[in-house]
Amino acid sequence: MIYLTLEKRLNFSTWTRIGISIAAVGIALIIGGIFLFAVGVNPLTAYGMVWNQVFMDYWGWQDLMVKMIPFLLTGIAVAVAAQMKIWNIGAEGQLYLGAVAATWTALQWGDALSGWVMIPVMILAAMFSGAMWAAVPGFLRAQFGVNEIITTLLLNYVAISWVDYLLYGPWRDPGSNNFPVTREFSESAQLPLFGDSSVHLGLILGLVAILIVYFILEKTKIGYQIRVAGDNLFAAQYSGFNIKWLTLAIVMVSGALAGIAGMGEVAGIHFRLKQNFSINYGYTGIIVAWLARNHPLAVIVTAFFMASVFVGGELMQLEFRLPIAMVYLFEGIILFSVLGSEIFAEYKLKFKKVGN
Amino acid sequence: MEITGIEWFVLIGISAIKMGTPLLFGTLGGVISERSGVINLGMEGLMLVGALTAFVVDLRFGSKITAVCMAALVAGLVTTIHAVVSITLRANQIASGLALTLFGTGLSGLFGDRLIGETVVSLNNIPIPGFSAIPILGPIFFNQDIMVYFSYFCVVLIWFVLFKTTLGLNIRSVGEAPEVCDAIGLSVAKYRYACVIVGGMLIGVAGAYFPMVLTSFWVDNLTAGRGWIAVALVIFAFWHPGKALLGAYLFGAAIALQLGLQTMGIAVPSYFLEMFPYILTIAVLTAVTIRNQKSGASVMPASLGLAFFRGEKH
Amino acid sequence: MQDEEISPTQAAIVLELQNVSKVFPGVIANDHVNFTLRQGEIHTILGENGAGKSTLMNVIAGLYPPDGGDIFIDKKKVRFTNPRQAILHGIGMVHQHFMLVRNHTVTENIILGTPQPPVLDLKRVNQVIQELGDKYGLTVSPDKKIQELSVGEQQRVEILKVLYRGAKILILDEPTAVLTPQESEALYKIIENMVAEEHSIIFISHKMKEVISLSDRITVLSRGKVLATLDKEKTNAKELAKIMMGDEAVRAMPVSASSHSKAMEVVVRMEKICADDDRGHQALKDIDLEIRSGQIVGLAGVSGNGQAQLAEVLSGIRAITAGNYYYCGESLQHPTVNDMIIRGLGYIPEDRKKFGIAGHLSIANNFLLRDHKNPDFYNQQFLSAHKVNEYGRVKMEEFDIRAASEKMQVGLLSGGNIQKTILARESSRPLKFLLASQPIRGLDVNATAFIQQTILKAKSEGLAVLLITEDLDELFLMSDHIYVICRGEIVGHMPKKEASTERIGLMMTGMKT
Repeated sequence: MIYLTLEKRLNFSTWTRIGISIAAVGIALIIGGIFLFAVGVNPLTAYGMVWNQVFMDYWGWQDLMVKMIPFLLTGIAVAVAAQMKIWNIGAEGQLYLGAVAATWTALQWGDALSGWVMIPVMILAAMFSGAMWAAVPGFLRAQFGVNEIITTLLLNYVAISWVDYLLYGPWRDPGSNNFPVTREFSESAQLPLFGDSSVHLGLILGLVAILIVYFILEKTKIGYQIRVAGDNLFAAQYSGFNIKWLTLAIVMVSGALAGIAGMGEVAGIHFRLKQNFSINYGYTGIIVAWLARNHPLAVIVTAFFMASVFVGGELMQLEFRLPIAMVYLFEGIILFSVLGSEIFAEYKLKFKKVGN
Repeated sequence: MEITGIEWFVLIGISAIKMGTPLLFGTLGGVISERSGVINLGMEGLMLVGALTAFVVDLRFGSKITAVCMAALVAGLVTTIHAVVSITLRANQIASGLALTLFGTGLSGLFGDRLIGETVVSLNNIPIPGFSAIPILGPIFFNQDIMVYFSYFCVVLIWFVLFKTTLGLNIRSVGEAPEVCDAIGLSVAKYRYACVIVGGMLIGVAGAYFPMVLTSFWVDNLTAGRGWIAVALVIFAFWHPGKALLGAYLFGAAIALQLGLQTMGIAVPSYFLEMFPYILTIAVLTAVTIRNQKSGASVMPASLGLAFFRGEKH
Repeated sequence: MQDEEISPTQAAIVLELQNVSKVFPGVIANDHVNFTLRQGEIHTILGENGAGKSTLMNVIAGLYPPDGGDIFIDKKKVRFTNPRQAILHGIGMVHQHFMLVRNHTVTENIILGTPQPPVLDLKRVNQVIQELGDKYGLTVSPDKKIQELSVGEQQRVEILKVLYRGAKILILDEPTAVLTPQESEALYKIIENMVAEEHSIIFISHKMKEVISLSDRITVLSRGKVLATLDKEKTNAKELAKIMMGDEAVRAMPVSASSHSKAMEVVVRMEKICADDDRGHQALKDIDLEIRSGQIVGLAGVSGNGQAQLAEVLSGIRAITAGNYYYCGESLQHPTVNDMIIRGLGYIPEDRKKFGIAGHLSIANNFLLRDHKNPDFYNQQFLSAHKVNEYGRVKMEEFDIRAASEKMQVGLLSGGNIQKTILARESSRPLKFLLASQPIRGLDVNATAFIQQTILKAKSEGLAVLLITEDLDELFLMSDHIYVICRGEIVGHMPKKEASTERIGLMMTGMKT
């Protein structure tokens, strides 16, 4: 008899992992292609088009950079919480709250303050607001052990309803022909752009945030405590770390980072708060973090990758009249594929002959 | 026309059962899956897949029963991906569940896009002779559509199977202590596959209820987060089918009340009413968790969320 | 060495292994093992931790398929690919770590996986179990949940589980490791009952005394190989120890340092200490305890009688509900873990993998665990990977921690090397008091000797030590003074010279003397 068995790899290298992940993404694109075919789109044409119009094109690269910004931030937000094995599925809601806080400061003081004051104020407001929104599930988890996956997620729906209320209610721009949008931010409340591109300051914010997170995790006492608590809560307790405090802190940091992402969208792209300004950016952060194995620096690479999925998806949306759901489908397939491939990083497939 | 308090109560009651029924099917599906040790966070996506399948089949063939069966079948098929990834390939169940939600949302959005605007006929209510005449409770519980009655049946059946049969003992054991089951020769993977897939089929039926009874049309994201409420209800129900019924109707009532107040034109903006079920879920989940902690005895399947590895010695 | 000569009057061979091998990546766990078991025989497998005993048993029980060799049952060749087939051939294994569903009842555990009607008939099954229990002297109440049972009772459930399946060959994997001396005696009775009913027993142990008194034959296993199979009549403890441990072990045996006769200062004093467990039930009741510098106090007791909570109270993890905790003459009110670390407490936790290390972090990083305020690791406030690794290398050298590099994940090390890592960390700070819970459980001879010697040396330099142990050999070897704990109470204490196994054993069951 010949069996197919899994044998644990004694030493697996980072390169093996990266290679397997790339292969998994390749498989995901093939499976995604089958679905494209099913809705009447030739996948080869579609991928070829994406390649030419996104990667081989100045405007394509610009779109990639713009799209990458929220993913850098939501990705690092999810990855930070994951350091302590906490699932922040609520980056979407925290992103909305960050946008709300930024919008509030912009509408309140945008006309009076200069950009030099206004932009830091917006960033801080977005961070504070995102952090406080995350603090609710963070506190419930730290204090009572309430499952944060469910609470963070449910708060997303609350956040979206809250934004709807503001847009249909007190914040609606009277001059908008009844569209549920706020008035446009004054110039001082708009993030500066790079040259004449549409890439805004958020890119720098995202990269800096990632570097700071990386530095804290690797080089500080608290970072060490977080790494230990993430690996083994019992060892953390035995070592006298304040787990409740660490939990709350890390969830709030996570929320603050997602909050910046929301600020970036309203103050860097739309210049106003509107409905559906986030296309699952918060949820996509989960995939970004997972693909990066929660490594802060790897988030930069995986955020770029997910940005290309989105830009490609939006291109197909225009070209083939496919709904945005196409992107979610691809996200699901990619995540499945990467998850399913992980076992091969730790185990190798072996054909085993049993018998003498 | 004025309606009396009792009439209003009955109306809310009927609506509560209707709103609670998809939650009930979903929670039952979750209970089955989690009793065997596998979390299914893909409920939202699976419900959408079930909903779209039922809608399409009903629209094309006009057969209600075929529509529900196909919804179960397709959802079961889609859940199989989750089963393969999290059981055979031993990936993280939470991440795999999220992938399932994205996949299901995407799949339903992609194929449902062209069906927006079409409608199907809702299921009729069938009063059960005798029972439906009971004052107040009769019209609430026994003048409902056939899927509601089917859900009652499922509650009893699942309770019986889980707690009174050999099959149920095996399922619960696999969820509690897979290594024990493995050592005595029960196939952990087999039971987990079966439970995840059957659970997924029920979640698909939950989805089917939306177009077939609640809306009669298709929109993107038709289930609007109810799948996630069902995920929370599994914990609320302590993984017990009977308590799942209680929880589902409690939340059904919350949703019915929200809709009822909205139509009555209460001064509270509807957006706040919309938040209500989600906030209620968080509050209840917190209360249940605290109570669970204080009593000390955990009813959560001990191996929930953990992939099973045999012979991890070296 | 081959089998000793076999007298023709002996019973038929029910199980035979020929050249059975099992290889895990990088380790040969069983190397061409030959073994026979006769009907009605108690055949002991004797060997150190890591000798491959459990692996061999798992091969026989069908959990691991062998990589080579043949297994015969009643002279017929068998090949098991899963445990169910082994059960069908009448092989039942009582695992060292009980294979029970803690949340289920005794009956549910016993019938799990056996042919039952689709709808359970618990009444009938309960009766069958009751009868089976009466026959072998295995009394348990069928409706109780496993988590409500004592360790001894849980073991009886394990045995019943195997008997209910009709096993003729029973494998008992270190069954007495977790029992009190009295519970062990009861188990020996049960084993004799089973042999009288024509069952054959494979008994695994490394306790020489019971091996000699119980077995018919003894097979010595070392590094996966059979060194000898001997008849009980033709051997003795000394010979077995020599075969089992080789010459190396004789060198490695620690010598108990004689205790100081000088008056020593009291380092730890507990007065009427009470504390609750995680569920809020009282776990410690009026504990009085005194530990002096230069003294090893041994705390004996069956596991689960409050030792864990006592260790947590001492180390600042668990709060006291009543009583006084004096440390170097100072009364501590609500000490935190950090307070205790600063006051010079070193703590080797019972479950070393669960509490003692962060398994996925490097060995070097694990030296920071309870020492992360040590400025040696920092370069102006910031952690220096260079310094951390340098420190790790030095400690690995000093404590003989064997690993490829200090950057290796600590969780991949053997139990002995993990324990050395913990000991290195906990004893490298200026200490006053060392709390060591089951420090040598599951370790091989060399690691055991190293750890015991390190503790003894530290004691001779004036450290106060509390040694929590279930292993009476270790207790007598190491302690100067012995306390016994049962159901959260100290049932007695005495200097070592007044203690005996029988007396301690009785006290462990709660009898005050």
